[in-house]
Amino acid sequence: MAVSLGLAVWLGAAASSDAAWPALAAGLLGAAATAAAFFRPAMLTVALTTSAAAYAVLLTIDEPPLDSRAAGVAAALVVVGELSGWARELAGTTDEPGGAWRRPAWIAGAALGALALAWTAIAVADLARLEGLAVEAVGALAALATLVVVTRLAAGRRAA
Amino acid sequence: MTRSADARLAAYALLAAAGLVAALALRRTELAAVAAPFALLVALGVRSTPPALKAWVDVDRDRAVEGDEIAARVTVRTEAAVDRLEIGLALPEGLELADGANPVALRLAGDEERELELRLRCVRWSAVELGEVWLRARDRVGLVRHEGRIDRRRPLRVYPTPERLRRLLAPAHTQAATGSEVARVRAEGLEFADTRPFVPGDLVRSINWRATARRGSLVVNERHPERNADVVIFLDSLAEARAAAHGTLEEAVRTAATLAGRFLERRDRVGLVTFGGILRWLEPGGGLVQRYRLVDALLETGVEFSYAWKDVNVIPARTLPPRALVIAVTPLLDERSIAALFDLRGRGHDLVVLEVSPEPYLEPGEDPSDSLALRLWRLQRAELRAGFERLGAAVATLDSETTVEEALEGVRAYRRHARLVQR
Repeated sequence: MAVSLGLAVWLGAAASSDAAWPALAAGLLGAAATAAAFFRPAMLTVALTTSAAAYAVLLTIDEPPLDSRAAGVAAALVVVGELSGWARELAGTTDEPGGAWRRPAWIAGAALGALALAWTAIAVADLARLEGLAVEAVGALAALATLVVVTRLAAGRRAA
Repeated sequence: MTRSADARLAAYALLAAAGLVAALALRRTELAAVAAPFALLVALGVRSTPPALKAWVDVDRDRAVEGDEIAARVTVRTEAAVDRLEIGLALPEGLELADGANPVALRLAGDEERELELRLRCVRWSAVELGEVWLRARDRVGLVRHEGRIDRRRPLRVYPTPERLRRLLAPAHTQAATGSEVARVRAEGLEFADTRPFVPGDLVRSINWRATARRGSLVVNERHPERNADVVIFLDSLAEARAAAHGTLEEAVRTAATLAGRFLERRDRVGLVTFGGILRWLEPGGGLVQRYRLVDALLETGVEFSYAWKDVNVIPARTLPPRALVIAVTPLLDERSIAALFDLRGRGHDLVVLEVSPEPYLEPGEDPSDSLALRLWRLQRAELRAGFERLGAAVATLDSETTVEEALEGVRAYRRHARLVQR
């Protein structure tokens, strides 16, 4: 919940005066829903969507050219989701000795991965504003990568 | 194993979809960038396959006494690696965890076997089955869970702790077989009863030479023989008063087991009638086998709700032999059992009522009318007890401050005075 609240405050502070209050309000709503998600897991959907909506409000009102803060928002939302799941797991079960560090490590890794992935997406989008052979090459590589992933997924399912 | 989705799966999938749609609608690439990690997590999460798990439970014994600690070992084996396996041994009512973690989360490598040592405390007498293991496995992403139950149940009997009893009740009538109870009749025995004039047929060794010398004619000693008695424990399970984990039935069963054990040690024949929604009975018998039969029958006692009217006619005649001492252990809450007890006394059985008081389980209201109602209820119960005593049946109340020993002392005192009045 602290991460969700921090995200709301950050978005409120980063937004212009027009967008600050709507973004902050949506962010606080997301933080409240995150707290409720501990008792009702289905509220996590509302929590993440509302927090993401706070960022969408900021983008819609302020209309920045290409906002690299999206990577930070993605990482924060991943941390909120994973921490919420971990909190519910801890409530019912005791970890074996020496096993308690694995989950925080996974959450940190997932957050870094989300940061990198979102940042890459932003970078690719920024690259797309340029024109020429480089953009065509990146597009072709992305299509090839997608094909490889889909083929591997299909092969894995057949084997199972 | 059953496959189920974590709440995060729906949240992540919805966020990914909403982000991509919003990115298209608002023409903002940033929203697609926010949605991308969630789409990737969902794609990785749904690939989870159920692990092949085996689990079994070993318990160090199948019989225990209330308060004992038993050791249970849960062994789990997996063929494929499991990032997080939550494993829990279902604890039936009457058992609690004394040492160890249950449930516990483990990480298992491929082809690994793991043992979990648990110590369980038997808090209440019961006949339960132990060995149901619940498993919940998930992979590293953890958006999909695989849950399953492995049933390795085996019976476990937890016997009630007997209370200390120094003296038992002396039955009004004894039977023909030899036992430890000094009979009231006069025959061959050890205990001196009286003297009487010699008659032909008396043994020479029974002549009391001192009395003979004083009186100038032959006088013989009379003795009380040592006989056994038939005792029937009448356990009322038609109704009980209960608060949380404790109720009158637990106390009643413990008392019944204590009495049955002690009477059997005295070589009496003991039978059992469980007068409840389901009528159970055990004909009087003696010895160690009968003791186990009785305790096993007591462990199966529960309060089964029933509207059916029951009286003593439903009890098989051989279960209630004539001249048997009937000890009723009852909370005196159900009209049917009260009527049956009056009926038993009316038919001439030597009846003792041990009332397991329901008062400790009551929570009187704060309203003055509640206090009045409680007072009336107490008066009704006092009148009920007086009704039994008027018929010559001793009534003793067992509550949190009264032990069985103290209650039996009250019964013995009543029966001494009742005999004086009869004279």
